[in-house]
Amino acid sequence: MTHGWTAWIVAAGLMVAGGATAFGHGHGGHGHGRNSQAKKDANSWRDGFRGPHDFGGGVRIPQDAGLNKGLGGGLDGRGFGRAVTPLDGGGRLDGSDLPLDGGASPGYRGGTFAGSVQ
Amino acid sequence: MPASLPLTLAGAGHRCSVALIVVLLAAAAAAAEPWPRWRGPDGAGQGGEARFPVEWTDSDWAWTAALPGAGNASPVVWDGRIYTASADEAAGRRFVTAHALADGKLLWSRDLPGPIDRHHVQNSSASGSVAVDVRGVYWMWGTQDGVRVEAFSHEGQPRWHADLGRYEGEHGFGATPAVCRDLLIVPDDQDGTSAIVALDAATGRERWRLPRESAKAGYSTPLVLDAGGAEPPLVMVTSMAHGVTAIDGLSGRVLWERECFPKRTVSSPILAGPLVIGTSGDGGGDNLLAAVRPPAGAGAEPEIAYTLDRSIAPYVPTPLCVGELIYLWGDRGVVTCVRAATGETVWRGRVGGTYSASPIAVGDTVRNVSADGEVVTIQAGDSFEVLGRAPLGETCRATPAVIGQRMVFRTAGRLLALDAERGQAADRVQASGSSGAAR
Repeated sequence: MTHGWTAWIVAAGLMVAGGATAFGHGHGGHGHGRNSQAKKDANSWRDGFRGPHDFGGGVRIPQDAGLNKGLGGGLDGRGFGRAVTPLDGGGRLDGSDLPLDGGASPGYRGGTFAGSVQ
Repeated sequence: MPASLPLTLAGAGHRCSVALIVVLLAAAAAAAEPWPRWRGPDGAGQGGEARFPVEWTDSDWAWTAALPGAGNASPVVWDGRIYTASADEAAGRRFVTAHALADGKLLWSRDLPGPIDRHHVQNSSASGSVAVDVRGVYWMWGTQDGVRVEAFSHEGQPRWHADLGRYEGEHGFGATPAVCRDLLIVPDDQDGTSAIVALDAATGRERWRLPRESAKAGYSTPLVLDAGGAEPPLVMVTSMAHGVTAIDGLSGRVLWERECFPKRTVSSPILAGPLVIGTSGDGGGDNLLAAVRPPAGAGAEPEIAYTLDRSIAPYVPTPLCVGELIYLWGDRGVVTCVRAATGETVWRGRVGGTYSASPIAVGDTVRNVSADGEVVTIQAGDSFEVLGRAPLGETCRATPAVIGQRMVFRTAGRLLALDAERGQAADRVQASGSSGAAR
């Protein structure tokens, strides 16, 4: 069951990113084509955020797309606090080193994990 | 079992026959498909079709061998050799070892002195498993002073090492690298600065580095999907910070990504048909399984096919997919079988015990080892049935390896080898034209 899907997933994954695949060349190659797709996706991502117990807004984009879609939308509604990755060349949106939600990750307090050992 | 039989059977003819069988079994084991990473090829836990006992005693072991230290690293097998890692925490030493699959003889042991950090009681200073390829053996270990990747030849000669910088993680280190063609994919998912790094497997030089956001330190092993040919392999990773990520294995470029995990990821991603399965959780049992459907092509996005909540999703044990079913071996001894396509529960059953090791499929059975060292075998399929239990005699948090007719367990401080049932072994030997003497 698993083995037969590997080729499909590999080829489809490359098509998504605009790379050459067995199905032909995706549009855009590295960066530009996907970037426009990412911009189109931005609205759908924002629309997708529906708060607690919802997966909306979870899609993140390739590092070369120049846009990040990872805001909020944590499973528990608290968000993940990972708004901007270093990959897009920017810092965090609020210019701080802290998660945007001020400590969204469970147990995260000022750079250390305050939670007890599991 | 086979080692003792020549001594107990009467008659020189029988001794010769049995000795021949032992040699043939050892040769078959050496020639079988390797088990190059923990949980075997693709991390899928597919242990072949041999029929192994479901219950046994200490007298049934083909051999046992002591390790120089303790740890949780699972055994891997390549060309008749078992590789694993252990640590003597009191002495501040770690070991990478090679034992002969045929008889358990220690072939070499490499001593890696270094600091010992505090770690979770269920963790160890040698929890990451060895990865292996035709070039040699790879192992990584880490303390707050640094993460280090070690490469040895199959003969145990040091080839290279790479230092990846500091490690921060409240439970201690436990990552395992994955071979991806001529690269070694190193997951460095930690509380500090995280990254996925691809090292040249021949030289240790960095080929690409993908910086990653950090959330809670993860322990997932990358899943390498390689269709061969001109297509680059995909590296599938899971983390709390990013969810499921598909990476072009040759360039390090993120192809797609889907956030879905609210907690740390300890289990490793697997493929179930077209779905990528991963879990996250914590010690409180607040676990979640996400089945992510990769994007089907340009313009498509990854989707969550279904999720399963804390009552079903395991935290540490990696799910096992066999055919259309996924077996979810819960940390607290409840096994749930779901349909891979939908997540619909087929059955649930309590096997008891607590588990850090991951289930594997062997023949028509599913097996796992409890932390107390009890091997539990259940029937694979549409109904729940415990077929047998057998003790290893020691704590165990490692997943066994299966090579042809031999299964290798690793407890905290030992390796133990079990052979397939004698009837099947004898049948196989008869079919090859050798003596039909029963083992």
